[in-house]
Amino acid sequence: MGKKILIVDDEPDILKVAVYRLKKAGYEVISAEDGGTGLNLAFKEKPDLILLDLRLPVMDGFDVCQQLKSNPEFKNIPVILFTASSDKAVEEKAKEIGADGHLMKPFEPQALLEIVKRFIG
Amino acid sequence: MKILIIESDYEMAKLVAQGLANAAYEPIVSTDAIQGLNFVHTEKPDLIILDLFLPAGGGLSILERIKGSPNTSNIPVLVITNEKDNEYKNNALEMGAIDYLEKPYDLNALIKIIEKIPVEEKIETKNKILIIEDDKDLIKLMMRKLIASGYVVSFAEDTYQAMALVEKEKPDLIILDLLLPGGGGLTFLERLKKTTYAFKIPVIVLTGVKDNKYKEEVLKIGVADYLEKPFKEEILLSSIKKTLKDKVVRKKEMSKKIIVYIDPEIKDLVPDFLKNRGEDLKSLYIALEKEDYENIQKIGHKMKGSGGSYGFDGLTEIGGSLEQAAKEKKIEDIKIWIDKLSFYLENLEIRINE
Repeated sequence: MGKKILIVDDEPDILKVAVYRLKKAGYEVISAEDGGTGLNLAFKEKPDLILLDLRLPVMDGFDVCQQLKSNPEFKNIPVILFTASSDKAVEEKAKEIGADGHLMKPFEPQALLEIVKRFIG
Repeated sequence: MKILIIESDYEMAKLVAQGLANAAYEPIVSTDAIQGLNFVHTEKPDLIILDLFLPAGGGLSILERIKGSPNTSNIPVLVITNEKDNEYKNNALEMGAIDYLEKPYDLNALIKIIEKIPVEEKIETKNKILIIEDDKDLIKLMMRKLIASGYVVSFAEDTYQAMALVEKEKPDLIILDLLLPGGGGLTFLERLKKTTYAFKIPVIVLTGVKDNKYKEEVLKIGVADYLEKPFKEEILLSSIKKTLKDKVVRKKEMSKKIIVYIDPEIKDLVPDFLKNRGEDLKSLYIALEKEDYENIQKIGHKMKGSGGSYGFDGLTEIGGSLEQAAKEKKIEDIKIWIDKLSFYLENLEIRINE
């Protein structure tokens, strides 16, 4: 069984193409369209890696990340922020809340696979 | 856009012509100088790509003859050279070449240069002008002048009648008297600018009011020109001409086919993706009408993120610009980018990158 990746993004078109790319590369992929569902899925499924959008309904990506990183059972799951904001403030905030990486949207398929591979092979 | 390629190397010329045809240009090829020069006169191309190394009279002398004839001097000429010699290039530029490219060159580099070349005005069809004015004598005067200048003219005496005519006739330009009985021109202008099928129509306003604050208010809504009564006929005519020219240039820029190569792996996902962008466009029109900047920002942001992920870098650019314009509440910019989105989706041609 391939490694399991959780993607949380509220844009269905982004989910579709990212899920497709990752499945094609042999990963198992689960997804959620809001922060609350995303966090619950993370707790339930314990994925090997999480791709997390920041602007999310119900609970935003920062909160989701913070919740995960403050929980000893989940804090080692790499969290990659997945955003279309190129803001410096976002980068800093990401570091502050302990996100492990940052992938910009729009993304190239190679960039997506590269960053995922870097963390979970 | 018709492009004449004067190039002695036939294989090379064929390759360039193919590339230009793929990019939705209309290429004509000539491999010798004399024929090339003939084509310049008979075909009236919008652009000439001229190899400076030609048998039977070098390229520079062709350039000299193109630029020396009043019939052809305004056709932009892009020269191709394999000379590293800067003096040669400078000669070409001094003689009026718009730019140069060194051999061997990349087709994409060529197309990039072509895209930057300003398009000459060519009024192919008669432009329709709608006059909205309640002064019958002024209508008569303007109609006579405009018809004599080759325009198709209709008129309305009140804004109710005017709105119906705008919808029915889709004029290329509107001349609007701001001081109309019943509702007034300003209200009409505001309504027009929020109407999806009409907000692009340029409006020249006429007013008898001399008040800078009023003028500012009108200019903020977005008009092509602001003329105070009484005005000279020539001023009105030159304002019309300029406005329509701007419009032609914009239209030409936008009527090019937009060719996007996509990854065959995700080709099944693309139709749905584009359908959703069509939905975005509808939502944007609604949001624009309500001045719902927050929603425009949101739609733009998402488009920025997803566009390039599917291979549509243009959508990423449009999305990002919409997001920015909405953040700054710049309604004119928002309209421009919604317009661009509409043209992008309309003129899109998908190719699978095999």
